[in-house]
Order: sequence, then structure tokens, then C-alpha cells
Amino acid sequence: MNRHLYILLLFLVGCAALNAQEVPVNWLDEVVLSDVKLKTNSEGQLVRKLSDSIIEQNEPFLVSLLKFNTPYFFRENGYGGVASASIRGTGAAQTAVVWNGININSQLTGQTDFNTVNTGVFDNISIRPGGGSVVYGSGAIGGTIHLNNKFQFDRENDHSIFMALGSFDTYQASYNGNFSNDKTSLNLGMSGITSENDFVYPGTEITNENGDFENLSLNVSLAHWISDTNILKFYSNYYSGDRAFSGTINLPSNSFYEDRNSRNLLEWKSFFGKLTSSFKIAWLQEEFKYFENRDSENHSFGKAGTGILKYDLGIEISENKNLNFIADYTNIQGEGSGILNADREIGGFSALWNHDLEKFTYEFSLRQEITSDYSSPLLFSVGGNYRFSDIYLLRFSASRNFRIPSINDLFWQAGGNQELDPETSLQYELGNEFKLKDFEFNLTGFFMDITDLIRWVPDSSGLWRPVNTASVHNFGLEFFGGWAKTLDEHKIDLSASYAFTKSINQETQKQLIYTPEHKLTFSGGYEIKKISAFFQSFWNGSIYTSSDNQYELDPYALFNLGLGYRLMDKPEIFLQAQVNNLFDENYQSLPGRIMPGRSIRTTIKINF
Amino acid sequence: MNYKHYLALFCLVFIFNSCDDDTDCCPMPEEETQFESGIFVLNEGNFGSGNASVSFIDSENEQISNNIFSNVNSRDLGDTAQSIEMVGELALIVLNVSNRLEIVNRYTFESLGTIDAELNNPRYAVVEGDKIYVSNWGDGMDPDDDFLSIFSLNDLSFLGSVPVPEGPEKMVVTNNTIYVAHTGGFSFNNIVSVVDTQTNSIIKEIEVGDQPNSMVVQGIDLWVLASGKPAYADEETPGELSRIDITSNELAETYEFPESSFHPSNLSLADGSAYFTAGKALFRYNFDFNLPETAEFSFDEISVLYGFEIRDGKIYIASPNSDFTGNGNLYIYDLANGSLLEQFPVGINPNGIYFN
Repeated sequence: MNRHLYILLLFLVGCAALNAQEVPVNWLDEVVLSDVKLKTNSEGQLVRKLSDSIIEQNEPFLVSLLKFNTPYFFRENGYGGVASASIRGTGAAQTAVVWNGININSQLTGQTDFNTVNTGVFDNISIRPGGGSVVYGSGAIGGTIHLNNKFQFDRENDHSIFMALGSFDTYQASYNGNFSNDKTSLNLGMSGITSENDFVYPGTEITNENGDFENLSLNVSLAHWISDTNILKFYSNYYSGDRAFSGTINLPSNSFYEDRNSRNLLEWKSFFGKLTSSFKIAWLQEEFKYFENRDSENHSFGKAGTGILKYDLGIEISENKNLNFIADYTNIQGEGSGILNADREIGGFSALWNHDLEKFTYEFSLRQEITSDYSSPLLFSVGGNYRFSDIYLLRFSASRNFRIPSINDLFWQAGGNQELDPETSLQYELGNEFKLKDFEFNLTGFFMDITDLIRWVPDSSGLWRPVNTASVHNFGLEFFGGWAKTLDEHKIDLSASYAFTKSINQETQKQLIYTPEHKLTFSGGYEIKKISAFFQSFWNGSIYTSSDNQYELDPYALFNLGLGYRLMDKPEIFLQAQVNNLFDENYQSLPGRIMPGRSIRTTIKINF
Repeated sequence: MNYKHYLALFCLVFIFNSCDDDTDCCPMPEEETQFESGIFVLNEGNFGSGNASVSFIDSENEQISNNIFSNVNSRDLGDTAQSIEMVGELALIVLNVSNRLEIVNRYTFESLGTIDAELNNPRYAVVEGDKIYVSNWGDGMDPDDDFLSIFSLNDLSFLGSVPVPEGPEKMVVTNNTIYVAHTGGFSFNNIVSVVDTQTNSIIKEIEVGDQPNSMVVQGIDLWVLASGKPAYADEETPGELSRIDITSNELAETYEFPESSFHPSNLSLADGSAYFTAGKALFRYNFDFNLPETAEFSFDEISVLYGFEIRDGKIYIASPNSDFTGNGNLYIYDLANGSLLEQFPVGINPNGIYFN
């Protein structure tokens, strides 16, 4: 499975047994969390965690989870096909997916395909709308999606098995296990899905031909105290996905796509009084093969390896003042059909300051990257929050973020442009958080000024090339709300989100394509004794598909409804059945890419 | 260089040029029809989106009608319209992604028939006698499956196919012979193949410049303009203009442009001169043995020069929206001085201009 893991295991076995560990409270986050900055560097921004039960309500694709639970738009090339995000009206490469603190957007395309992240192997998934390039790097403009694993040292072993069976010959299984003693914590996850995905397009008699997919994801997280003040943490994730790319109504397809991605991260963390030292080595590998004709061996491919060295020194200046200095080095080597000499090196220095006054907490951070390929802007972030009362908290944030040119942008042979500059975004937001007994909601207004947008456009000879072209202003309002109540044996919860987004090209004054002005989600659950029920729904406003705003896709609404039953308590066995797209809505997020109509899914979960 | 020969050629050109191209003289319909006289613009639409369309600008009142195929026939045209062949009373519309040929009456745009078999990645159609020939790329990545498919013009039945070298694109018919320019599909090719329509077989492959993109017949000469390989190819090559003697099917002359970054296309004949474009600029060749070094003028209003025609002293350019997502425009310029005469908004990604 993973050579690095075995080497590490051997190394750990060789370590002498140590005394039982009592972790000081102020180290706890550093020990347990893989990405402590998500907590300490988000003072001015909302971080919203999606619970396990929500994750399991959808098939294990990041896109399926997020389209029902966030007010953002996702564009899907058919079910299971290439999917990208538009958060706060930004483009696909302006959202960063972050795995245990490491940005895993493709080096080749600059974006993450949201159908190539299996959600079944992470301990928690969070969204963090707004900028974050100082900590999360390129693409953290519209927002960041965080896939995290965490450790516990509670001497408990627990296991969870999950299986699902659905329409269109869809089978899903996953296993997650946690093993720990005082010194060592091991977390294993594996999750897979396979589907024929041969649904009939609603309203037609045409079947989604050539849409079958399967993927498997493995995740290992291991932490071990090598002394009272030194801990080693290792995270490894492997993803293998095979997909047929279905055609459209007009475009038959026989193409096939293979993804093979691996991510490994080793961190050595040491505590010396007021100092916390963290040394990280990460090695990421991404590879794809594209077969235009799946019956043929002819294919194109691309791969990129990324090596990262990162040193982070944390200084606790006083109980409420923290300073971090970070130096890092990244080496990226890409190759593929149509890509030549795609190597690049990036050096970076960051300084992060966090100050916690009783009611007022703020952070200030800076980052400068140095690289040979393009000039990097000085990135910064200033954020804070003020607690006016138990009910009301005000957040603010200002930051400069960027999206660097991807390997394809720079080196693609037909058009790659090595003169490109990074896209830069100067952005501001103001957030209000209200908490009233069972009710909480967040309302955030944002503004972004994105310049030097990288766009592939035809040059005078008709060759498509990326150029730094337009400038865009994005602004809008974003709402997240929830209500939860327990009354005797009745448990009920509701949550909703909504975003109003304008994303205006400053040259043409038109809305950018594939950015809906409105999106609304609404979901809820009810539980009594052994029985539970839930629903999920969203409404996606119309989206323009042409930059002259002459063509648009119709709005659509989806509704899923499920029922659950807790069969046993020890081991806990939980059964669930759900109907997805209950009203058989005929919808598409890309023209011609019709999505599935009504379907059924049944699941069983066993915890022991 | 043989200047005497060029001089002879020049004289020949001058003499033969007096008879104009045959598109001028099409049979008129018996009664007045909706599309009797005007300009068609073929809008290829977005790949995979099934939104190809045809726009028509009436020469009487300069009124533009969009989506004329679907308005007349109450169904969508199809996906990624590549080209139209106007022949007799017919218009043959080649739909690349739909793998379909729509045959309509060119004056009413009423559908007369559809061919949707034995086509694979079709590009262009021509008619010789009572047979339709369609160039097909086959699987874009497979260099060995390209072919011409042949159909009966009478009943649209499939008559057979001719395997051809990679990337068959535009075709020219004369005297039972089809000249096929092979740009190379997803790859690069540098061949004009000669197909005998009596035997339906290739009788000759003539090597020309890389990526031959346009051909015109003038008297006994077939002029072939090749764009050369682009900058991203293994080796960038300049455009070439070649003359093939169609009585012998021999390559008679080849002129190579001096700059390897010069990639011309859209060879057209008008007023005794040859015109072609490079980028957004127009060049004129006077058959004077010297390739033009400077542009006549350039078309600054357009986003992309995607479709190009010269007719009756006017230049017609189809230009998509700059990012190929929305509606494009038809621009009409004065051939004499390059001034913009008119402009019409058309459909998505216009790629060709045709006339009634």
C-alpha cells in the first residue's frame, strides 16, 4: 500500500517503550489536530464543520456532500464526472482543497476535481469561506475545504463499518478504525464505491451510456510520542479512481479516465517550554491517464510530484500572544502529454501573529513566496472578532490572496504561457454571528477585487493561450443558520444556508459564467427513540453559460428524503433508506449534462 | 527561380480569371422563398452542447433571422456544425459531433433528408455528379481510420468509402477528381490526396506544406495554402503556397514564407489576385512571384477570425465571442480599403459564411 508507512512502522517498533503520557492542556490542539492553524488563524472567518451523519447522507463524493450543505455552486460533467466548485462567485482554481493542512489542488490544473475526493476516510470535513493564501497557499481565494484526521490517546479501540446499496448498481463500503494507547494513536480508513451509473435521463428515453465509475481511498494516520516532548505524526492518503466519462445527449462518448493520487505527510513536533517546533515533510503525487477510446491503449497522461519541506516555530510570547515563523520549500516536477520541463521551485516565508484579548481576538499574518517562474505578491491577512455579548459576535477580515499559474497554464504545449503572473485577490469581509438558545446563525458580507485573472482565450491566430486578462469584482451575502432542539424523546434540527453572489467582470460589467446569483440549501432531521428521519434540499438559481449573458441554464431544486432505524445498541447497528431527487427533477449544471432522476439508496452502519 | 515560367503563369492566370467561380450562378427558385437572396452564417455552437444554428441576413432588407433551421423544421440542428456545401438547390450541413449530415432546400431551409450512418467525425462535404463525398477524421487519436464516405444524392443511401491519409479536411471537385487537403486531424499532415471518382480510389498523394487549409482552382491550377506547423509542434514551420497542375497532378511550384512563425490561411481569389489571412490581417498576392511581406490591412474589430469569405468586393468575417461562450458577429468589410461596412450579431461561434 505505502512504502513510507512501512518504513515508519518499523522505525516506531524500534523505539523503546516510554512512560505513559500526560499531555499538557496547552499542547492539546497541537497534538490532536492535524491543522491547528485552521483554529488559530481563522479569527475573522467562519469555519463550519460538517458532521459525520451529514457526510454519510450522501454518496462519498465531496461534490455530493457540499452541494447539499453549502451555498456554493458545483459544476458537474454528469454524475461522477469532473466537478468543480465556485465559492463566492470565484472560478474552479480559486478554491483550495486542504488535506491535513496541505493544499492538494492539482499542480497540473490548479484545481481539485470534487468527484475525486472520497469523503469516507476523513474524521472531519470543514469549510472556511474566504481568503486563506497565507496559510493554505494558491487558490485559497473563494474559500477552502478542509479534510482532516485527528488523533486521540484514550486507550480506546473503535471500529465503524458502513455499507450502502443504491440504484444503478451502486455499491459503497467503508471502514474506519481508531486504535490508541497513551503513546500511540492509529487511525485507519478505507472507502470505496462502484457504480454502473446507467440511469435514464429524466424526460427522455436516453440512458447515461459510458458513465460507470469506481474509486477507492485509503487513509492512515499514525501519531507516536517518541519522548515526553516529541511527537511524530504521519498521514498517508491514497486515492485510485477509474471513471468512464459519459457523453452528453448530443455527444456520445467512449472515453475513460484514471486518477492515481497519493499524499504523504510526516511531521515531527517538539515542545520546549514556550516554543513549539514543527518540521514537516510532505510528498504528493498525482497522475492521470485519459483514454479517448476506452477500448484502445492510446492515451494521454499527466503527472506531477510535489515535495514540501516546512519548518514552523511557534513562540508563546505570553499566555495570550502567539507568534509563528514559517519557512518552507516546495519542489514540483510535472510531466505529461503536451507538457515539457515543467519543474518549479517555490520558497516561502511567513509570520503569523495571534493576540487574544478578553473580548477581542485578532490575528495578523504575512507571507512572501519566491519563485523563478513569476513574481509573487506579498500576501497578508488581518482578521479578528469582537464578542459584544453571549448572543452576538462580530468578525472582520481583510486579506490578499493569490492563485498561481498551474503547470498547464505555464507549460502546456499548445499555448502554455510562461509570462503569466499569479491572479491576485484583495478581499474583505464582515461577519455577524448570533447565538440564541437553540438557534444560531451567521451572516457575512464580502467583497473581492480579483485582478490578473488567468483565462484561456484564443489569440489572433486562434491558438488558445492563458493570459492575465480580466479583473472581477465579487460581492455578496452569505448566510448559515441552524436550529436544534431536544424535547423529551424528540430531537429535531434544521439548518439552512443561502448566498447571494455577484461576480462582475469589470470590463464587460457582465456576471461571470457558472456563478449563480442565488443558492439556497435547507436540511433537517428528526429523531425519536430508535427511529429517525431526515431531508436535504437545495435550490440553485439560474446560471449564465455564456460571457455575454445571453444563454443560461434553468434553476433547479433537489430534494432527498431518508428514514433511519437503530436496530441494536451494542454493537450499534443503524439502518437507513433514502430517496434521492424525490421529485425526479430534470437538472443539469452544465449544458447537455443531464443528472440522475429519482433514485434509492439503503445503508447500514455498524459501530463497535 | 524560373521567372519566365512565372511570367507565363501570370498570363495564364489573367486569361482564366475572367470566368468566375461557380457559386455565383446557382439556379433560382421558381417562386419567392424566405431565403431567396442573402447571407447564411453557420454557427457551430459549443462542443457537446447541441446548440449549432444557422443565421440568415436577407439582402433585401438587411434583416437578420437566427436559428432558421430549427424555426423551419421544429427541431434542433445538432452539435458542432462544421461546414455547409451549397450545391444546386441544396445545402448540405455537416454536423461534426452529431455525426450527421442535414440536407435542406437552400431557399426554404426545409429538411429534405438526414444522413446519420457511416459518418465518423465528419468535416466537409462535396458533390460530384449524383454522389456526395464527406471527409471524416474517424477517431481523432487514430491516424489510420480516416476516410471519405460516399452517399447517393438521389436517395441518400451509402455507396461506399475511400480510406485516406490522416486528417482529411476541405475538398475541391473538378473533372471527376476530388482533391482532399489533409491537415492531419489531431496531428499534422502535409498531403493533398487525389481521388478518382470513377474508381473511388486515391490515384495520387501530393506533398505540400504542413497543414494545407485552403484550396482554390484557377484554370488548370490548384492553389493550395498550407499554414505550416504551429509554435507548439515539435518544429515550427512556415506557411507555404503551392501550385498543382491538375492536368498532370504534379506539384508545379512551391513558395515558402520566410518566417517560420507566419501561418496563413483562407486562400481566396478575387479580382485577379489571391488573398489570404494571417492572424487578423489580410494579405494579397498578385501572382507576381513575390509573396507579400506586408498586410493590406487588418480587421481590428473582430475577436477571432473564424470564418472568412470574399465576394463582390466585400470581405465577410465570422467572429465568435472572444471566449467562445456567447454570440458572435458577422463583420463585412470593403475589400478595397478595409473599412468596416456592416456588422450583424449572429449565433454561438460562427465559423462559416455562405451565399444565396
